[in-house]
Amino acid sequence: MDHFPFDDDYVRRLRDGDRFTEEHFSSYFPPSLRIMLRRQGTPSDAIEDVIQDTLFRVLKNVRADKIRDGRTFGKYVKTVCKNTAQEDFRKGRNTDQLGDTDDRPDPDTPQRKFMKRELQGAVRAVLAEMDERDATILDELYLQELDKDEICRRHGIDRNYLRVLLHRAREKFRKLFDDDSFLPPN
Amino acid sequence: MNHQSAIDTMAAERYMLAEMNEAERDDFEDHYFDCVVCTNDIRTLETMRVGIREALQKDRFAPDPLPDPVPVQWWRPVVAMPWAASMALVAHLSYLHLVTIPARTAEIENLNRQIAATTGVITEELAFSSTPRSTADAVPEVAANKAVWIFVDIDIDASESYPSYRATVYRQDGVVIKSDPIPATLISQSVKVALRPLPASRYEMVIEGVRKDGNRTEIARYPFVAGGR
Repeated sequence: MDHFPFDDDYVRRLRDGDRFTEEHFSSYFPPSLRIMLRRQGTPSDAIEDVIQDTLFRVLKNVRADKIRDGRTFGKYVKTVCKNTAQEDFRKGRNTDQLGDTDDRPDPDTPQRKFMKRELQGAVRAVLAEMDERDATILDELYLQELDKDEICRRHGIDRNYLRVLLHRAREKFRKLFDDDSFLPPN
Repeated sequence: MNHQSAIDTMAAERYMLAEMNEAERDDFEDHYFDCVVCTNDIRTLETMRVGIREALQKDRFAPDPLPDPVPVQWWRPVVAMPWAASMALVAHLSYLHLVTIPARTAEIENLNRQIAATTGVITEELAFSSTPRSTADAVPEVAANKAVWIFVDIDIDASESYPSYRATVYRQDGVVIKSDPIPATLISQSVKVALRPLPASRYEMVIEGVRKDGNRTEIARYPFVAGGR
């Protein structure tokens, strides 16, 4: 089953300046890039700059007709991002890593306030359905940020239990807070 | 990595739990950037993580509910008498302050602390000086779940001064509770940091000098404990 959101036609529309495709491009990649950069330890104050630089470089290469295979466009964006982050790191950017950019409050537009309420409602519904041990595990994992092996030791579980717990929570959460706005335009 | 193996191995969960080595992480990233289903899984896990963290944080630091407001009925003795007593107290304090300041200063300071405690402002204070602690000294303690002022008097040598400074409070597992920048102009005065109610745990306040290139050097470290009172 194909799950690829990109193809040669997508790249062509981006190259030709199609507005909807450009809007999708600008909004689709940043969340995934943010997650990836944080996972690889990019300093929090560098992440947004790296993302903007990445989008700029990719768009420049698209318009110069340098993209060969539209089906691997996502992988190409990811590769450009990693290279940009490495260059940034070599330039010796500020190493201040305090704070979580993902937890910084976004400007509170009415739409964002609505989304926050929906998110909080979905989260509370997921937590309410869990037994106390599982809710405590998520507290230790996400709020206290304890070591995962320590969490497993405390509760007499293994790493697979953690994965399954996350997987089930994700499925419940998705049903309550389904946002498919990231799908590419037809 | 293809999509089926990503599903079979719970790759999204393992990725978000940081359980993959670099090669596998790279492989999975190559896949999910071109796979809408796996991208959706990753983003859902991340949104869930942020939402759960915010919800749990909010629950943990929720302020005590304020009592319901009661309309004031001035003519009732139960209202008028405390007010009269309060006014009389103010008059008495003014006389004490104006007539016998040196002798009554300690008494007035004690009264102010009691008033502050009843109005719900920060009541816990912790003061550190730059005098080195002996390892035999007891670690200072504040009550858990109460907001705290931390005062630090730091003696900075002119030879080791920095363009700016930073005061960071760490929980014992390394999580940053608060981090405040401190301009160099304020460092010669008492550094003051306000902390929201702290759960019972051990903490450390670290003062660092910050150079122009952003690199930091630790100047002082002050452990303290919240809890037990």
